[in-house]
Amino acid sequence: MGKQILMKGNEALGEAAIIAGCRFYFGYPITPQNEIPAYMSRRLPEVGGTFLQAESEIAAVNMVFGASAAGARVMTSTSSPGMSLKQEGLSYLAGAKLPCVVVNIMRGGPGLGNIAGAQGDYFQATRGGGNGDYRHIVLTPASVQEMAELTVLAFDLADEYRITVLILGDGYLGQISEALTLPEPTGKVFEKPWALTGAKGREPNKIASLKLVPDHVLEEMNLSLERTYNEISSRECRSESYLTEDAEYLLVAYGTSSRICRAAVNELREEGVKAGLFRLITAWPFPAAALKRASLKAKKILTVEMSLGQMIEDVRLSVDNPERVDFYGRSGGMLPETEEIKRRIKAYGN
Amino acid sequence: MRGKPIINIDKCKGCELCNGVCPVNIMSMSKTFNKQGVPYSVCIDEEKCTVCRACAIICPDMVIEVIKYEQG
Amino acid sequence: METKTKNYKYVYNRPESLVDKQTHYCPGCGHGIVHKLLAEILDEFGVRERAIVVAPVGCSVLIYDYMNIDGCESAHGRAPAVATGLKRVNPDSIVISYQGDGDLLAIGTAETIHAANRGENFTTIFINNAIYGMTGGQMAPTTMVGQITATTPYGRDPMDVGFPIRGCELINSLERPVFIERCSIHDFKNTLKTKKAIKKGIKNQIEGKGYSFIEILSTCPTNWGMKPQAAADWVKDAMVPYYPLGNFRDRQE
Repeated sequence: MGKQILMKGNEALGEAAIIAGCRFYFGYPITPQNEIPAYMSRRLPEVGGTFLQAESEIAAVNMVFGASAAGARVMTSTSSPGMSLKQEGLSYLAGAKLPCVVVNIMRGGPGLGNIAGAQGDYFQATRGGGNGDYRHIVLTPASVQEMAELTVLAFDLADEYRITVLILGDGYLGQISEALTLPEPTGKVFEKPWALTGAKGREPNKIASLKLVPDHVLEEMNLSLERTYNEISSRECRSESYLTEDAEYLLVAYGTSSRICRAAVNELREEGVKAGLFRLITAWPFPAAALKRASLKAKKILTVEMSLGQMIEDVRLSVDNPERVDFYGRSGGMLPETEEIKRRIKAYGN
Repeated sequence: MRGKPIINIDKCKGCELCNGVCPVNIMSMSKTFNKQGVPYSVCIDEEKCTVCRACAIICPDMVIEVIKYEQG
Repeated sequence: METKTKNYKYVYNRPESLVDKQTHYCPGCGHGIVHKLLAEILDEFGVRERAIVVAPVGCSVLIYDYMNIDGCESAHGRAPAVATGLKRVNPDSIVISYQGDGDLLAIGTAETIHAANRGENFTTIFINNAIYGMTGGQMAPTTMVGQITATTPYGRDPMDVGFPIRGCELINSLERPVFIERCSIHDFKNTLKTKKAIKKGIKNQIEGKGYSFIEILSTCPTNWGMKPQAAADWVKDAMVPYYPLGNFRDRQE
């Protein structure tokens, strides 16, 4: 066990990326994730890496495309409006089967919105915000410790499946300072025979998503992506079930809203109410089977989000008797309140 | 005779650019069609070829190679 | 046949860096000429096994299928960003961003200018044929005043959509590029000059000098509605007077 240190969420994420072997970072400033590029600009030169402030979010994600094509572990980070701009690159990365890590420290929207933490980008993250038939893995940390741990995991998953892994945090997680133990490198090594390193002693490698002729090649590529997505869905669902065994009232949340829900569950339990929390760690693949199990005894399932209701659609699709599913959320950078969650739960009992 | 263009007639798309660049005007187009269904590049007087390679260099489709005869 | 009775050698044949494959380009298209020039130069420097071509979106999107080297796709306009990523990871690779006028001066203007401004050590080959070829002949940022295209049916009106943009002059306002030249492939002599310019651009990269920008005036016979030779003549008569040929910068240090 390493020793505990105090770090800001964004900086812990940056350090974890370096621990994971990330040596290339391309990004564009946007609040509330600016500590990530600032941290990388300071740390990467110390470890022989490259930090480059790009001319735009679009350029940044396309530099990631190039660096990934060259075989590097590479990352970019942004916040909601910047994430919209990156969607073009994410679609191309998916089509070209290039691994990379993209961080979205969400803020209030739509449009320029504000700079407070929010969870309004769940649809964009889990449905694919760019064009075409694709998915990427979405990890949802809920603490500074997890910001670091999931970042290390993200790089391994990206290389293992040749896929983009999105770390979906929010402004509160990015800005909060907490004690954490920095993770160790996993030591996993992934060969990249497809990387563009010059055609020396081999046939030329081509990285491309364009499949014009014959007619069926694009569908074959899509079906091959689907096989990868199915494999990920069966192997990589992650979640935490907290006091769900006997839970009559199940809260479902992720990230910052799940922290508030946990406090509500603890207080409700003290008052004798059988409440539990199901927390996503992967938003895609969605841990549907685990949620179904956790919800077996629940009379009511309250989905709590920092949005007007996006994850709730996946919750409804996952559980039996979806009429049990209810919603409480705040948007525009406002936080759900413990008291309001408790009031809702108690009202179900009447 | 110094050399001549070797023309891969079936690759020719019939653009005629080789006709325009030849300094001794010995490049022309065929009266018949190739597999692509277009008139193709022909050299009408190989004796006059100066081996300047202009026809080959301007050809967008790598249709023309040029050979030079060795002395003696 | 005479070739059998006499000794001979090839003085022009397919470079190793070029795949022996029929291109999808229209008859007389300038892309085929420039692909060949680039392939010859990679052969001449012996860097085929280090080379990576970044393809744009546009007619030359499939250049990676025609070059016998590593190849990378890029989203429309993003070739300089992709090239930046590739080159920063493997500084020993020889990276060429091959871009058309829409890619380089419309949708990818920011990427173009900033890669040049950073002095990224790669080579940009800019094909200026004054039109969008692949999508069927729409107005490009380099379309000539009065030129009729699919989206300027009454001719390009500079009071409405601005004057054609001169790429070399724009790049020449930046400090870090080391080599900037505009050439043309409308005739044999200029094609040889074009090869010389590309060669310089690749040499600069091999020597680690920095960013080279080679603009090549080219043809689009199909979308211009001209026979290939007439299109070549139009480059000389209509484009060259507005886009002056020559070297803008050749920094040696």
